[in-house]
Amino acid sequence: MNGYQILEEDMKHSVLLDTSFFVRLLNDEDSSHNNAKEYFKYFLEEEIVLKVGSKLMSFH
Amino acid sequence: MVKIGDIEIRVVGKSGNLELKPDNYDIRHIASILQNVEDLLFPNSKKDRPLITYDIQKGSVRHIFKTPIQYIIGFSAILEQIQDSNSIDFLDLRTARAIESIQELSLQKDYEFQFSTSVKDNIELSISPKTKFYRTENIWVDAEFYFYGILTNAGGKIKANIHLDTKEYGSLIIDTGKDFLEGQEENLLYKKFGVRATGKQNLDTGELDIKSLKLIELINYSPKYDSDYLNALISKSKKSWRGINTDEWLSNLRGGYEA
Repeated sequence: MNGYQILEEDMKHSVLLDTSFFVRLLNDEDSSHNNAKEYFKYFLEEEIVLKVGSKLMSFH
Repeated sequence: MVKIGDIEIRVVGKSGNLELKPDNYDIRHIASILQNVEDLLFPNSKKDRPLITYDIQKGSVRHIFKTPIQYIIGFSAILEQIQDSNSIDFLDLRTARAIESIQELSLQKDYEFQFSTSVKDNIELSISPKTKFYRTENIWVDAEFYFYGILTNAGGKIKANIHLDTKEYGSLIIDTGKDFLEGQEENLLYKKFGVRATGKQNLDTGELDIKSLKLIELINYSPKYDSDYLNALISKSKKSWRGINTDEWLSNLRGGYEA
């Protein structure tokens, strides 16, 4: 999977977002931007918990 | 096979000049023992726990608890490990606290608490003013946490705090200080918030000490898709990516690893 990985142990409720996901989401000139944006919208609408590594957050 | 077993906590000591017996043993100490035994036997799942019955007998004061033998066997093993290792650092937080509370009572009143169970004949653990069953403090370190949930209570006459109902930890009580609550102009109750807080975390197990939480910051947390907000973030951040081949950049970052 590119951009996100669904956590197997908690499949229906949470996703782990990696660097690639944020790079694509926050740049509307990226070829995968719309894809990432739709996923982001879906996660929030479905109340799926978004999980992000602490190193990634400090990096951004 | 007997299905019910018992735990005996014998308290040896004096009440003034008199030998300790149920007639001169304060109900406050009984209440404390009852609470601690529940925490020792069932630190996490009190709601679904089986019946524990109680009796108090002479000699000096003997607290007798009965519950299914399966739990007594587990409890006996814990007592043995505490006695052998002379440490409570391996226990989970509630169990360790219960032992500390009994140790504290022992010091305050000069009582000896002798634990035994129907599984073994001998005394399995003795807590007296000479023992030092306290957690080693340095395995609990200061850490920072984020919690998300609904704020269900705010206030407190002596200790000002908020109660946050979370999915992960249940209801958390977080100290805020009176000034923080005084300065709030809007009603905080029954709204979703994120809370940034400090607290103690166990270095070995990662366990969080939920009684140590102090508020750093209350974060407005509205997990709804907000197109305008997202677009504002995008226009702010996209400038940083101009002229950068993101695929190449990510590939370098991963060092050849592709998920």
